Amino acid sequence: MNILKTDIRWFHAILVLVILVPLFRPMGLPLTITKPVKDAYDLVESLPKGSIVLHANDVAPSNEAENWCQLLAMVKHNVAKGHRIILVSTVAEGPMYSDRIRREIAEPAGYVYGKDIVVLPYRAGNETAVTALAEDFQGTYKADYYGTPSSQLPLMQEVKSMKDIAMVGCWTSGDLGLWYIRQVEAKYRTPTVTGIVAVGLTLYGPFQASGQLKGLLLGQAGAAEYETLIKSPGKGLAAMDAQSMGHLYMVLLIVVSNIFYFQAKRQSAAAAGKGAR
Amino acid sequence: MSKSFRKEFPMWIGLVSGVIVIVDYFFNISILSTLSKEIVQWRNIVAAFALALGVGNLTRIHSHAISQKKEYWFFSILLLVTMYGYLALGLITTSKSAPYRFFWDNMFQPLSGTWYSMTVFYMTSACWRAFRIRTPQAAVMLGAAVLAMLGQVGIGQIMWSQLPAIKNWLQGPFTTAGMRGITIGASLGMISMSFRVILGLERSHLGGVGE
Repeated sequence: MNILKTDIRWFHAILVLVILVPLFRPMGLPLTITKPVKDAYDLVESLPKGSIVLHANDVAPSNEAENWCQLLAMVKHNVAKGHRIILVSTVAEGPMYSDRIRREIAEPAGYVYGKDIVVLPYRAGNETAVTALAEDFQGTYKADYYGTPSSQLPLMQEVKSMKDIAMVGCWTSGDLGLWYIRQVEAKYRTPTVTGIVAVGLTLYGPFQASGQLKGLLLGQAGAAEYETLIKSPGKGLAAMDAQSMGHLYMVLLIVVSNIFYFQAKRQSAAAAGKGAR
Repeated sequence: MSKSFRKEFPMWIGLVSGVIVIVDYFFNISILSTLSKEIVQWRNIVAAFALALGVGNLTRIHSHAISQKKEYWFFSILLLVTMYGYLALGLITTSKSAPYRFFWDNMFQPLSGTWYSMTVFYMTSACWRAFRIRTPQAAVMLGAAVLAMLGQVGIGQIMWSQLPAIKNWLQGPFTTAGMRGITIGASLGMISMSFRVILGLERSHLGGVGE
């Protein structure tokens, strides 16, 4: 029997078990705090109470597993430090998640909507939308997500330009962080941190190395590290053991399949040699 | 409207808008700044219309599939009913209403999440069937991938405490150097393409062909 031709669904079934078991029975595997995550944490720590933080929330179901727990961890930290929060989105799904932040984190912590936190609606246009909000924040958002005119929101009145923003956080699986680096960090020197999906490191690594990004949360591990730093275990930490086992399983599949591949190759070469004799 | 006007006018819009926005990025000139802000806002409004265009296009394609009874035409009905039903719900009750949120929380979000999560099974299949060490280059790539995958998670630290450091080293100088090269090359290409569009040398986006 050629094991390489085993029905792949068996491997899928094992994968489900490998991921599910640690979710229900956490193993408490170790976690190292990486420098880019510590840098992001230190930046938030350094901001005085009442600073205005802009979170560019491009969380959608596609990247929720990684970006949502990153954003939650940082917002919890902002709330603990008494920072005021503005949430914007360049994906249509973003405001639905921003609304959850208002309902589930900010308001239970005593934040007053309009004064301490504002949820702004989706804006089409990708990088141009970022350019627009950087150049004319109040002109870009005449009303909030709930339809309240910006003129009636005290927090919105305080933001005349990006210089009034103490920090920008970008939560994305794509280029959003790059748009903010180009249109906000480069022009206004607003400290920017990014939370990205794990595969995004190649895209953002150079900007973190150059210092244009003041901090970087990478995938679910980045969220778990941040949750550890703020001492508030959440979804990131809960899922890290499952991710660990998933990675180990994938590596085992690669190694084992290659062992069988070379064995089969040697056997066929030997058979060909016998045939030639 | 003459044919040449239809061709030339969009090109002039591109030229004037492009020059204003670029100059405004580098220089602080009050009048240009005001104009640039307006142009950028217009661009966002045009982008919003692109969404409506997408809805129209989907409607056209799937209406055609239904009328022609093409394979899986019933899925086209499902798509149109869902799309227009949810749109109507949002318009009538607003996206903040309980019914809109109910469908979002209980259908759209879990279904989208499930759909994206399915990729893990494709990854499993690829790990078992496709990632073969056929060449020395493939060996290097797979070796780096294995070290990065294990170095990223806690189980790797238990196996060997140096794995996170090796992963960081691989993802540091090597990845950064490679990506900087790609970024600089792509940026130069984008600058040259932007100049071609602004100067009217590139016209394929206007429905014609570049010179």
